[in-house]
Amino acid sequence: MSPVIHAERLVKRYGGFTAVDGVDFAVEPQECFGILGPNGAGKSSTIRMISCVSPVTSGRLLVEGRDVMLEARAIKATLGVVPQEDNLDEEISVIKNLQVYARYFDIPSAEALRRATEALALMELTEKRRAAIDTLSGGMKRRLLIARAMLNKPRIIILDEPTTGLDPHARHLVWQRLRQLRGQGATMVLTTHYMDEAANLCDRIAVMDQGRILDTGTPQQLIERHAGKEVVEVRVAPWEKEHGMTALNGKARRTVDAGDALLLVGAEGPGLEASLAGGKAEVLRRRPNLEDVFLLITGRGLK
Amino acid sequence: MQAIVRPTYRSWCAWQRNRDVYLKQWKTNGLAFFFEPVLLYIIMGLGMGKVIQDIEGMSYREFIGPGLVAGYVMQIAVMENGWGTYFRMAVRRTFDAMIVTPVSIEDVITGEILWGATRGALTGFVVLLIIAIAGDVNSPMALLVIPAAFLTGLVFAGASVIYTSQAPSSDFIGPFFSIIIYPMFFIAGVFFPIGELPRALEVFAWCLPLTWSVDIMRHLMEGEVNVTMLWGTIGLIALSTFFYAVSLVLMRRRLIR
Repeated sequence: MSPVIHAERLVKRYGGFTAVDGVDFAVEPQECFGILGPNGAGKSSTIRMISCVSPVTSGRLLVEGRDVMLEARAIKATLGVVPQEDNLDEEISVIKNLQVYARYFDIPSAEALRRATEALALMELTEKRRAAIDTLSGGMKRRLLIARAMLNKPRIIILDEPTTGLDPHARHLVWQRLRQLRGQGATMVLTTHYMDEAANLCDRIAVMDQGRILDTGTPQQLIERHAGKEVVEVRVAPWEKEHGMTALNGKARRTVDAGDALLLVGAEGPGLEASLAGGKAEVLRRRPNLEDVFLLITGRGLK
Repeated sequence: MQAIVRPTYRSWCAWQRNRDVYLKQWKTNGLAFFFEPVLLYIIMGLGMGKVIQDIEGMSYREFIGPGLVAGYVMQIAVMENGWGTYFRMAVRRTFDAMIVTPVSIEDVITGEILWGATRGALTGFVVLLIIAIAGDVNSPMALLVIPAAFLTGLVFAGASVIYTSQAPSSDFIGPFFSIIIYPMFFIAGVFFPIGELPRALEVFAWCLPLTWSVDIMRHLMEGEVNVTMLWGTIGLIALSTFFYAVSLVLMRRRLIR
């Protein structure tokens, strides 16, 4: 099967600034593809090009075989876009927001009302139907944005940092709903700088930094490729970091400065503690996560 | 994207969006728009009307009525496409929400300008109605004031969108009123015949689109037709087309990056 979204040497420049620096990726049908990276990595620019609202500087970007530069309108009809910022019509009610939005897709009003009701039910917002937008919590607004993006029955759902700014409970509610949507067969592309979000929702992840995709794979593949089965985290005081690095030299395949700790990949078994500042340092052996992967690939933390 | 993306019938959805929001707010601030022109019409009629018995063969109220229609059509359209457009574009990010759907930025801007002109025409209609009730409309030709108000609205809506497209912040919108709109309102023959002005200023006044609109409105309400009105209409059509085209280019430049 051909990919749903296909980018080849995709570049986005704003004046002299290069936001996306020649990336290649392919999103397969019905998968959830995550773009993981810190702020300013080029995630949103990539998403905006896929949504046909930001012209491609060079390279090629196809959505379901259509070129975003040539068939924007046709592509946009098949997308459901959940923006990073809430841009609901605050003056009108929840249901009216959906009805107004459905018109942009030429959905007849009776059908629009039916779909809006359905979408609200799925997002657990039925009781808020007549509510004013400013009475909704952040999580509810986000769910309403997702409901809005479903009105045209999109084949591809695009989410730009879907849970940024939400509390843990609201995040989990949003994740649940997104998993449910995925279960219905839509292809999903999301950007995030939360590694737990990427791990929770995505089948495959592209790790992006400074406009480039550094590696792509399933969360498990990425972890195994870069961090192996186990990492050792050594908590040391900032002034002891340098000493620690020297002391640990040769004890691990790789040692990286993780800010408040040192991260060791492929560390040798016991005896590690002994070589550290007279055994005073706190040593933690644990399973590696995507945050470690990011750190190991870029040499920097995610935030 | 494409070099020129032409606006389509989807502009109508953008217009409808603004209408729906307006109708929702109508009870709180939707009716205030004609208060000012009507107040001016009554107060100036009572005060100045006593001093000036006859002005170009009309009573003072008959004279300023059509001028106020044109002047407030302009002001309402400029407000709608000044603060209103800026608010939707930069504060609420409504345009961003719309352009990820099959609606293009050209559709959005076309809808905005048509909506500004609609607000203008609505103002024209309500003020005309009040003037008619007061007995200062002398011809059924006055019904043509409504399309003339829409056309006037188009000109100033377009101009306002152009101005707003360059606004770095909402503070930028105010000066458009104080530097361009209010001076035009005072010089365009709303309150006195521009023939009374020094020659140079009179010529300048005739260069202003509001002057053409005031002239058209006044003749329509008096039931006269002359060649100046024709030129004025052609001028307004030409200017609205020009402003519209420029506004599309500038808004695309601002929003599609």
